[in-house]
Amino acid sequence: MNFNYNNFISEIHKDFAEDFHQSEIKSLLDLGTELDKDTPLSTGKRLEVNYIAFSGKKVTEEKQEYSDQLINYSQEIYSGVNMWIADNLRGKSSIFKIIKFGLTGDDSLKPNISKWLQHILLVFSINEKKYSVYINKEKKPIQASFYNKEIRIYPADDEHLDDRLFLATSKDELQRQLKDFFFHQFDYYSLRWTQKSPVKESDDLIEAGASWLTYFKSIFLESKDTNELMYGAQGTKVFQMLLGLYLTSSINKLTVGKDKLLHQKGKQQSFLSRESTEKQSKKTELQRELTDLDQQLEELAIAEKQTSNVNALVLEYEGLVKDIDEENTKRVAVNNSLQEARKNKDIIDRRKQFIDDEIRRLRKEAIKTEKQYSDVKEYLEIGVFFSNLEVKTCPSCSHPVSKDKKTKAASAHTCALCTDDISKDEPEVDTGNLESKLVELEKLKESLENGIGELESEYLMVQSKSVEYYNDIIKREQQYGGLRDVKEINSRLNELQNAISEERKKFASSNETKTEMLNKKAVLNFRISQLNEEPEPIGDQKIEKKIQLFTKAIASLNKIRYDEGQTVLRKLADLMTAEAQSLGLRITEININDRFDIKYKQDGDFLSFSEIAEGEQLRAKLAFYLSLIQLDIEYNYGRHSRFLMIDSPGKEEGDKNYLEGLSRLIKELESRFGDSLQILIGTAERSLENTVKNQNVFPAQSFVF
Amino acid sequence: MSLEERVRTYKDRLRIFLILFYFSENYSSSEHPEFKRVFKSEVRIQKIDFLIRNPDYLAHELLVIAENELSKRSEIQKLVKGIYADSEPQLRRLEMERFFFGAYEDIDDVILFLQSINFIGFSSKKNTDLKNIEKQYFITEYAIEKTEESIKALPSLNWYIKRCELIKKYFGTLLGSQLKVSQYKIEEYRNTSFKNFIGEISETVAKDYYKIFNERL
Repeated sequence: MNFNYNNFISEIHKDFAEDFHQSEIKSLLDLGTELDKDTPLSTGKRLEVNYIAFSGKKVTEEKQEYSDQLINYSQEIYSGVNMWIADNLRGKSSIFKIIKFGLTGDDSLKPNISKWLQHILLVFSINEKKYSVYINKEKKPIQASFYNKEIRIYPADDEHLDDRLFLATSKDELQRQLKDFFFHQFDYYSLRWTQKSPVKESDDLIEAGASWLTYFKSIFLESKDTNELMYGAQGTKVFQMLLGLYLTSSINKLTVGKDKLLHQKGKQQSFLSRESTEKQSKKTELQRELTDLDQQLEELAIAEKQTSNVNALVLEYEGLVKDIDEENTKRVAVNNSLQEARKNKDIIDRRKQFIDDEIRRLRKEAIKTEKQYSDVKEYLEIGVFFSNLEVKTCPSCSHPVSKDKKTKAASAHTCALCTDDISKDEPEVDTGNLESKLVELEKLKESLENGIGELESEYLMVQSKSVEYYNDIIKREQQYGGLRDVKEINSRLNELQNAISEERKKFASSNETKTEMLNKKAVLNFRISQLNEEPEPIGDQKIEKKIQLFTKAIASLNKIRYDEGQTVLRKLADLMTAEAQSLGLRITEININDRFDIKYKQDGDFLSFSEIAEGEQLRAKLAFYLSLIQLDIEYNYGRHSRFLMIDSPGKEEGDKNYLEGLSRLIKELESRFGDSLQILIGTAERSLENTVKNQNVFPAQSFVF
Repeated sequence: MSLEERVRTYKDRLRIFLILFYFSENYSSSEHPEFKRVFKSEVRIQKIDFLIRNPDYLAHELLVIAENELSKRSEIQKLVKGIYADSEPQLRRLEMERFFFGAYEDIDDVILFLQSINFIGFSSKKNTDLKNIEKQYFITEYAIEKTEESIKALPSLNWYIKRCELIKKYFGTLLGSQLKVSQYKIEEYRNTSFKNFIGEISETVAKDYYKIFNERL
């Protein structure tokens, strides 16, 4: 098929570009593997029942003529048309229901008859391959074995184990296994739909899918369903599955998606409208409460006015609180300035100390210089004094040191007394050097004294500043001390507080009520204002757009499927028209639209199935299924299993034309398609006897088993 | 020899000579007609020297007198005030070490020097331990001439002369041992341990001065 998903998305995007990005659309309309699920081409497979056997015992509560009779039924069934002809209520339908039980796992037998059965064995084939289903009803709740070959005798538990494909011990398991088997064989898959949750009060939507049992309705045409072509709501699902037109799975997926969106939208809307109604009634209630409350408050206010002598006390109290505040402000201000003054004094005192230390240091230095100065000066003088004196006597031996001796010593550069070499001694007094040292020291002295003088004058200044700060501190401290004593005010405050609370106690209860009422009023006002607010948008704001998107996408895919499927649908419609006509219906044309509604042209009008006369509906229905099978056989389209069980086709339609038509049709089917299909017919219509060769005719009033 | 050492040497020579000169008594002997004055005891030299070198101790000694003798108070007040006004305790201080018997400094070199230039004569006796005792120092006529001739012309020596006169005035009659006893009364002096310098006592002096004269130094 020529379908390009990306082009499809781009095409859709054109209409929704404002609301969705292309990637968003892609994710919303994600079709994944759905695109490859369908093909109208036939699998070429047919289902054929070959043999049925069952046994049991007719156990009844009340004594009947057949009570406790043993059942032991077996029947070969052949390709082509097989017919059971027996009176009504003699077991024809049960045979079909037992076959259905074997093929689907669904036991729709009447409970009392179901109870009779102990063993059911069914042999069937798909094309040439044979399979056997054995249901052992003696084992509770059930035990069913499925074999990969033909078995004609009820097998024991340990028989044919190599050929056993599965063993099911419950009906659910049996149904699931059989579904998997047939879905796989006939390329069926579960077409989905949505339905409301069966749980009461839940407005959830749940997703359901077509089972093998659903599709089996296209095989087993029960007499009770005669006036429906395709078994209720899911009929078209079966039809679509049997046709296998391209995109069927995709359309199904999107339809389910759209249903969910619609449901979600419905929920959102119903929530909003429910909320709005609830809001309105709540608001009315709150308004009424508010009016009541206002009235009560008014009454309370009047009562209060008559008893309020607390006001004077409160006024005085508030005045005092104000006074304390003012005093505290003053206190803080004075304290701050006091701290500031102390800080200033501290800074200046530290400077004072520094200057003092520095003066001391310089004085020490000056003294040292002075000492050096006077030492040098003294040395110069003393030096002169002593160097003018000459050594005359040796202090050691008291001998005179003669002039001659001294002259000799001087020329020899030795000491006149100890005769040591003194040539390298420095001259004792270098007066020139010392004089200049004196000048230096004088200068140093002067500069030190200047320094001291400067520091001393700074010291005086700093000291007077310190005194100034000290006075400032004293002044502030006096100010601080002079502040009003708040203790007195505080004790008066306490007195007042007590008096007020005493007074208030008297009205405490009414006050409590009032507070309570005011609180309640505030709450009411708040709640009313909240109710007046616009509701917050809830849920998916784009849901409407999404629904539109899905609608558009489904319509678009539907159109493609319909266009692509025209060949198949046209052929089917033609086959149906031919079959209907051969069954004696006055139908001139049949149309199948894109929603798989079938319209029958009768007397110039297009009628739907339900609009066809009741007596003609079964024929139309037969025409439909036979045509589906023919479509497969003749044109290789569709997925019908080519197996039909028709229960009582002539029951309500005593029309002679119909019976003749049916008989003719059966004969024709037998001759034309006897090798390609299998139809089991159960009828009480004795006129159909001998229409086909494979017939089981049961005498009047006799039971089939 | 550094300048400082030289200064010390000359100072010591001068001081010791002046002590001998000012604190000696007239003397005459036929054996040594050149000796005109005599000074007895080395201890006395040491104790007087201590007073010259420590104006604060001198002030203290003066205050002791002032305390006891009312008549001398105002004079002493002036003197002590002057000592401190001129910062003498700092400027004139020359520390002395404490020895076994109080402040002491070896003056043998000085004495020998003075002897060599014929300024003084020296005599002593040896005791049983062969120690020189009963030291006597004689001032020569030559020294007296020289001193009178030149020393007065040297202005910076004036302070020493005045100081010697002052000490002589108040303590001239005291023997070395007596001076020693009075010095030992001073706590700082007494507590100084052997071979350590004797510390200054200006604070004590200031306190005592205030106590006596109700005036701050």
